[in-house]
Amino acid sequence: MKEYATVGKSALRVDGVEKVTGKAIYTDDVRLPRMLQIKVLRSPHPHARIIKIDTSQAEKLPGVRCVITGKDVPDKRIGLNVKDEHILAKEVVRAVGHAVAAVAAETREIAEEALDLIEVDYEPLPAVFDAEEAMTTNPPAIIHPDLANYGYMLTFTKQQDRDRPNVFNHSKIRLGDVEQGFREADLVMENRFTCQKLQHATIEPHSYVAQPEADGGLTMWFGSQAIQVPKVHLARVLGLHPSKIRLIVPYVGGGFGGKMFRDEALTAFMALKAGRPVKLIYSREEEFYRGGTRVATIVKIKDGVKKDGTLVARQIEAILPSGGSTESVVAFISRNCMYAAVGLYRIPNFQWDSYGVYVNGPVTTSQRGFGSPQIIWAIESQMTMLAEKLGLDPVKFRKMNFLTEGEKNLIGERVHSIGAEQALDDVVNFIKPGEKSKAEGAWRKGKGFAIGAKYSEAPTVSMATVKVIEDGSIVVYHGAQEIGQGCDTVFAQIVAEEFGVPIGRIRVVLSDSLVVPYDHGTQSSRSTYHVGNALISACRAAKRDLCARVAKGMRVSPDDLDVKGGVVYLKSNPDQKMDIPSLFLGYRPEREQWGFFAGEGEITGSGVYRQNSIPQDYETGQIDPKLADEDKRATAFFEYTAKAVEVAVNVDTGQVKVLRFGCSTDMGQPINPKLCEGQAEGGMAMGIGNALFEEVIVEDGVVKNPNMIDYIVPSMGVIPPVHEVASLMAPAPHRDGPYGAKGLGEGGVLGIDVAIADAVYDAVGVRIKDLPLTAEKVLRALKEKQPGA
Amino acid sequence: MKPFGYLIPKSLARACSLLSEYEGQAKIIAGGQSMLPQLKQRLISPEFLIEIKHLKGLQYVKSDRDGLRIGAMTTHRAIESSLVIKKKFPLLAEMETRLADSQVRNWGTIGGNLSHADPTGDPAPALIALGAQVQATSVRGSRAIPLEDFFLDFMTTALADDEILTEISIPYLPPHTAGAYYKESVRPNDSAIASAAVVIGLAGGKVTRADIVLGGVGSTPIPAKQAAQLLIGKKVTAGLVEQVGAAAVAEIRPTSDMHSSEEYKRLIAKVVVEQMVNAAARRAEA
Amino acid sequence: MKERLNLRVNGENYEVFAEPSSTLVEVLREELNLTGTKTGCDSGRCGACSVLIDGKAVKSCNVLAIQARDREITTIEGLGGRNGELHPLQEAFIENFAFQCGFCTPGMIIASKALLDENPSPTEEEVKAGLEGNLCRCTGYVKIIEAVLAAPGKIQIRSAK
Repeated sequence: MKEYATVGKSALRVDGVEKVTGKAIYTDDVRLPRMLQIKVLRSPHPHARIIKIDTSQAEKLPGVRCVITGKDVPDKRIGLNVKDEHILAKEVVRAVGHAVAAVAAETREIAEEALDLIEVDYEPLPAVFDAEEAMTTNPPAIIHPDLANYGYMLTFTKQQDRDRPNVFNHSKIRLGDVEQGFREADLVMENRFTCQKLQHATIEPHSYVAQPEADGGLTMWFGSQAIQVPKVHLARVLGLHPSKIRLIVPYVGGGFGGKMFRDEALTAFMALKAGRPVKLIYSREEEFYRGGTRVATIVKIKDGVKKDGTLVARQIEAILPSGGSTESVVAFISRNCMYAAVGLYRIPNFQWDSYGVYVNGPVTTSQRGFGSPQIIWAIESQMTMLAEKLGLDPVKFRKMNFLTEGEKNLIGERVHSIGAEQALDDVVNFIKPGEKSKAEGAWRKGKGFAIGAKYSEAPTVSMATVKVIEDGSIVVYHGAQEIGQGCDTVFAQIVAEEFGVPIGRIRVVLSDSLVVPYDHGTQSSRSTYHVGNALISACRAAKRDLCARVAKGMRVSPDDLDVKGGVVYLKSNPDQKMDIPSLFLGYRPEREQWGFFAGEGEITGSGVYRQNSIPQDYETGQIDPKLADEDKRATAFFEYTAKAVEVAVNVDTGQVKVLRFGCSTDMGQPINPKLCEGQAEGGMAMGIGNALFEEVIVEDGVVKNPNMIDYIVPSMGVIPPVHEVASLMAPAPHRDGPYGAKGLGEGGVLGIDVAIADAVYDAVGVRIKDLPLTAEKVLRALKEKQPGA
Repeated sequence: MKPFGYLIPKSLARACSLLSEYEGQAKIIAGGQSMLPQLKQRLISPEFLIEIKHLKGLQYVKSDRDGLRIGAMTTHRAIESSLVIKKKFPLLAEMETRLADSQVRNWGTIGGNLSHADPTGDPAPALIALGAQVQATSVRGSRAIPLEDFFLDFMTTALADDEILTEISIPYLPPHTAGAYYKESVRPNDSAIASAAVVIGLAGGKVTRADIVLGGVGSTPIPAKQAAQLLIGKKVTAGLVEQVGAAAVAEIRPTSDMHSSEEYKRLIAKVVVEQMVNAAARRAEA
Repeated sequence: MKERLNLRVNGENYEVFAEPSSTLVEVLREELNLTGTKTGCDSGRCGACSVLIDGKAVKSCNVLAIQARDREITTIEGLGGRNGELHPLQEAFIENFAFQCGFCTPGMIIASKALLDENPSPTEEEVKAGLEGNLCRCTGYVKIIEAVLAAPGKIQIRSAK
């Protein structure tokens, strides 16, 4: 691996001082004069018609400045992939928590009191909560009767399943002939895997501030993972030109996929209606109803395999329940989760059907993995079960079926940059599955591992600009958001590398839609790859500009020059050089006087990186094979990540403790190794929570535990000792990535649930196919296995 | 929260008279660690709060001739780190390390905790097993209530509306008498799925005193008297411990909650009782 | 009914007018504009609101402001030196990459300081027990623990200077 000056080193985070001193500004820290506080009235019914809303008493309450209901908001619908929502419910509420009214008042207390004074008459309607019931041709309730007339993001128009009124997406892959494959197989195994509803539980709740501007437009500050996407949606629904909308994202207190367009429109609309700045901060309860929850996917998987371990056929049916009031990107998730099944294993016959289904439940949305973890929960669990049934070593069984460089994957893309073998070897060496640990009293120990691939989406675009200023520092403008992953640091490292300067000479500008260039969004582990590439182009353009200016003065050709370490120098004789500050007129170092402008305008460079994507056939999911041979593809890249754990299971209580955790990730090329570790370790905790403790408990559409006491996220007390945690790297450089880099973060929780379930099986012989593995569930399974024990 | 008036009496006597005066309209607030969430969720909406946490006269850990007296406004943290408690009642210090987290323990008080009467609370089973009693004070005077009789129902205590819990007293343990406390919970310091506090006294290898109190498995802490009785006069053996565990389960009244079914709580209750009987017996021998 | 309340924060005296029902975090953030202390869950679990009261960590969303009268309150803003010098614990957090989104960080650092003030050389188990009340969703805690274990060495060097 090539050695670089800054790239590949663990540079200290550029946002470090701000964050450790409490100076970093998050949305709730934004204070504006005469700002009002918003509280939202939400439906207590999972499905109901709104007969009447009386806000008159609320409007009279002193300190209340504006009350809005469905009749006040635009008729235009909003939604990320399916336009299925109004800013406030108009005639029907489709979930407990669906917003029906909002109040802006001088204080939060007054706003809350006003909510109590709003009277709403509902006529409850039959509701459907079970996805399999909801997806039939004749479900108990049709949640969006007008679905056929809703606007859809283009990818999906053809995939509406008109016979099934609650199904908003059906995606397919057809490769080979699975029935034939099953006939040829020596072993056919079929299982159903399920998992629970999860919540991001970011420590910062969803937060929005909006200020109406004198020109009829508005400025918003909000915690978000995108600005261009919300801007476009807001412009449309509010009837404003995009230029009138300024979106600013300060620091964000965690995203994990949950901060992509929730109540921006509501806040913006209220600001314009009230004529004053407004702030909306979700209560923790609202996080569970409206903040978005992870899809509780049902996966049915059938595999056919030869006795030597060759996979011959795989059939997957995945059912993804969305929330009633909005699909909230689940259409996209229900399509893209297919990539979890196509990028790792060679299978000649493959059939995939995935369905996005409305149910009258709390909003579901993307959460760290965009549907892939749930699919891999099923695939990797079954892989281990197959190996056991066949009497094969589970590591060899996987490896023999791994795709290799240049082969075609299950949608026809030519595989490139696949560090899967190395990643798997790393974790197997760490956990040593063959060696059994001794029991300790009631605690039995076991080991498990899993491996998965997480795609990064395409087509997307990122742009970036760099500007060299009077002291030779470089200012970086990019459209991604710093949500904790450290993108600003990574970008600063890339620019520092390109210019050959220390990272302290780089300044990254925070996300402001009037200032920063276009970016598709901080999602899908795409930022390093896309923005990184755009930055490299931008830096090269700026350096060319610098060389052009100096070439004139030095009377050489620009090609004879290069830029490094704050100087422009002659390649053939580096002592002939010019200090960058001296390019600025009026620069007098002896008088401590910086220059004020470069003779011919600013020194900037812009770059754009577009990851193209070739379409997949709607029926077969395959890409054009001729284009595939030209190395064109549908996805951007795949991150490969392997996880392994050792657990202890208490046979008296069912409690599971994770004793050791190892993970190895192929992210192409680490730009900042410590930040990569951070993603692995954060994924570890989240994965342990997902596997053992976390569950959004919903009964008849009502969340029973909408708080941080009863929604149990890992605390320090449940992670393994730090010296038993290994975050390893198995980088396989990608030819299209900046310095070979791909991305990571989305793969953080991938496979941890399987590894833990496999380890529990290894320890006590119970196989659980439904997450989470609570202590009670494990104990029940133990008792069923050995009654009376 | 609904707004309230906040009264800061200068003495315990004044606090009592205020509580009497504002009958029905006021509540006593100690550290508020249990009360503030209730206020925020509007489960309670008193018109006045009467603060007593600041009363230095209620913050103490004193050694008497017969036992320890702890002022109701002593923080959990002070109990956790008290040298005399670590020496005389180590199970109390251990119990405190499992309670909530350091921040809650730094500000919350033992008196507030007991008055709140959360059936999953950690201190109550441990203190009942130790034979503690509490002092209830009002304008009408002061009376002693054995802690065993203090919890009447779900979050309901024997305190009259005008009474304030002011002191907890615990008799010293005779030689060869020791206790242990354990709770099974999801995260280490979450609410008890089931907890058990056991105090055992031995003489000549046989049990002369046994107290077993369970938490989290009823609307109040539950002394398992019949189970404890099985130990009296006997040596602690594995077989006997198993019987005691099963007997204790017969005395509890758990209900399912969102995390654990009733059946699971019974299974766990048996496990923790057995473990604590063994632990207490081992310590009593030492 | 708003009442006058005197609070001493980071060594300075403040007079505010607030409802008795105002929590300490509300008064710190809204009245004193000390926004370093965060509101995360508003139910006393996540610990992002942690401040020191008389040197002990407390969750300021779960304490009424009026209860904190006549006490020394320290927020994250009060941790560094007068000239902007970082506290060794803050340096340890930076050097050990002990934060990502940073939202839990002020509370985490405050709780860590309280821990180290009481127990200058904690073991890993003691760090975990002491910080059980501080939740983090980003880091997985590993680097936080490493930072807190690294801090005593830095604190020693600083006091030797």
